[in-house]
Amino acid sequence: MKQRRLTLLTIFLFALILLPAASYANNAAVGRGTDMNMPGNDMSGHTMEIPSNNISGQGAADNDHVTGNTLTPTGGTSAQNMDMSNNDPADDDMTGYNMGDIPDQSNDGMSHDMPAETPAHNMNMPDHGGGTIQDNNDHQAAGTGHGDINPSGKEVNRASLLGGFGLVNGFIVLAAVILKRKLKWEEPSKW
Amino acid sequence: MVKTPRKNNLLKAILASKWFPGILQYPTALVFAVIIYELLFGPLSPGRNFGTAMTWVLWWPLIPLLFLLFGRLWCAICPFATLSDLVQKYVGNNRPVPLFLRRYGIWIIDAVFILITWGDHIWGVVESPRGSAILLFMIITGVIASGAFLERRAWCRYLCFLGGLSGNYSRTGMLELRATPEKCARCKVQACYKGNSKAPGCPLFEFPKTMDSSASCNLCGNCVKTCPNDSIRLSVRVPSKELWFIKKPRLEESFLAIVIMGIVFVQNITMLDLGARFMSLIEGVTGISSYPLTFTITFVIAMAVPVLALFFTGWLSSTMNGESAMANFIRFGYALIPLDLAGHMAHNLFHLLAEGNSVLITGLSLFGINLQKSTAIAGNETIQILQFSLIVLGALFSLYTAYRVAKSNYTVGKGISSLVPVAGFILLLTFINLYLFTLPMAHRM
Repeated sequence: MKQRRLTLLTIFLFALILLPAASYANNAAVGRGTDMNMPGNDMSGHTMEIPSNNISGQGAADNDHVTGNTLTPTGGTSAQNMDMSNNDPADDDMTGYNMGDIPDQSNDGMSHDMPAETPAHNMNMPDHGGGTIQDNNDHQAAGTGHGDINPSGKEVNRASLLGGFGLVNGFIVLAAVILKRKLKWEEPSKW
Repeated sequence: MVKTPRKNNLLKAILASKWFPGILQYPTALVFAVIIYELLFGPLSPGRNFGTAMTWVLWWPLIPLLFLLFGRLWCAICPFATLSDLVQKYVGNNRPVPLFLRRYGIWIIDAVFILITWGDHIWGVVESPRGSAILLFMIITGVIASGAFLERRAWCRYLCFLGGLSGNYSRTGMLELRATPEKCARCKVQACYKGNSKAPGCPLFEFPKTMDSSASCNLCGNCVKTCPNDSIRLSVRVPSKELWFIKKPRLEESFLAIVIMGIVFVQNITMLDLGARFMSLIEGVTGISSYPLTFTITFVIAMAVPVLALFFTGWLSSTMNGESAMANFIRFGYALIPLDLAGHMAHNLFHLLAEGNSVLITGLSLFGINLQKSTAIAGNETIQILQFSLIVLGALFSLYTAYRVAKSNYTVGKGISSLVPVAGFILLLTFINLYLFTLPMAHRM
């Protein structure tokens, strides 16, 4: 009977362990398709949507290169700046663009500053896998399109996280203390 | 003539010291605390986070090497074990380990290991400092629960996913702790198991008198300290020697051996263009565009193929030696462990040598020093040569292990013939590994 209760308690605790991680798991799974989560920019499905800029509807035929764009790593901890202010939006379609052709650039957590008047940037990058990305940390990475750029763009709610785990662990310790005292009363010789 | 094992008295003296393992345990716990803090509050970019660098670029690649050299010594100083001890000391109930854990513990470990690998690819645990922190917090919660209710280090023995891995790898380890049967035969106190005033009993529930495997010995030195007869000896042995004489082979351990092979393949393939192409193929065939789903299908295939292939090998061997396919699966599964270890080390060698400087860079950044240098310690060619050498060495040890297993279990004719399919399978795995290491691999950081 005791064994059974302990088993049930173990299962209950295991479920509790999983709960605090659930929100992170839900959030992290979004955008994992390309591992290019960027603050404020959803890149799932290989499309970089930029709030306040209409990026849809840019035809591919007249936008077939990115020449002239500068990817400027700023060295910040959470964001790097891709300055595109000096570029004609018409030149910014990256459809069919192969990431293997970008040398010496870091894509870690980059954000995209663009003047509000910039009308449209289609940055679909369906063919970005397969090449080699040489970034400014001398990483030589095979561009698989998965797991190789920066999957960690999202910040979690650390207060909830610590609170959640703290609560669960506190509960476990409390339960252990209660159990220990109870067993001391019931079976003093054994415990 | 029986060869006397080479005793190592210096190591024994270290284990007998009252300072061991505390002198390593508490500094490790301190570093671990810094790692947790950094993972939670440090930079979001894994390339700039000291916690990520320490965990996935230094510790994870070095751990299989530690298992090879010192068996499960890491488990004696592991910060989770230290935490478990502390919780047990203050609020522990020391209840017996539930029967289902004792019976199915390794299966749970197998499942958790697979789940963590899968979860890493879905949620990006390794590349995400916060994800890594959550993983560690989940482990901490399990450790606290185990320490609070169960006796000894139940977590390490029955639940820790790394414990299962280390158990298998430690069988290839070069260091073994064993008791002297003649001395133990006269012993009435069994202090090595029960403990005495000098030290507690074995934390991993082992009884040195009957222990014939290093899978569950963490070299904590408790038995060395408690034994009144000086029965415990430490000796150096040929790597993988223990695998040649497995008396009671177990399905779950063989299964873990082949699962690890699958996991190493998954880790390699997903860091290669090959993985992306395979998933595109699945997208095309199934029409599913969701990454978690396509990855899960790829993952299941990558995990199932080696298991089925080993079963098929076992079936081929069974036609030669008359035993069942499952019996051959179980018996010869152990022969894969050296190749597992080699594959694991070779894969992580890339991260260690191509990204190793990130530990220094991120470590110095904690003190405000901005070091601008490449993360690489060695060039790609050097790394590749080392990877190939490791795989070849692993393959040789696996082949020899398979030979010894066949030799000690079957008559000469049956032994050799049943070895042929197993040797072929080991060679196939070797060539796949070698091929994968010829391809450029993505960085972890």
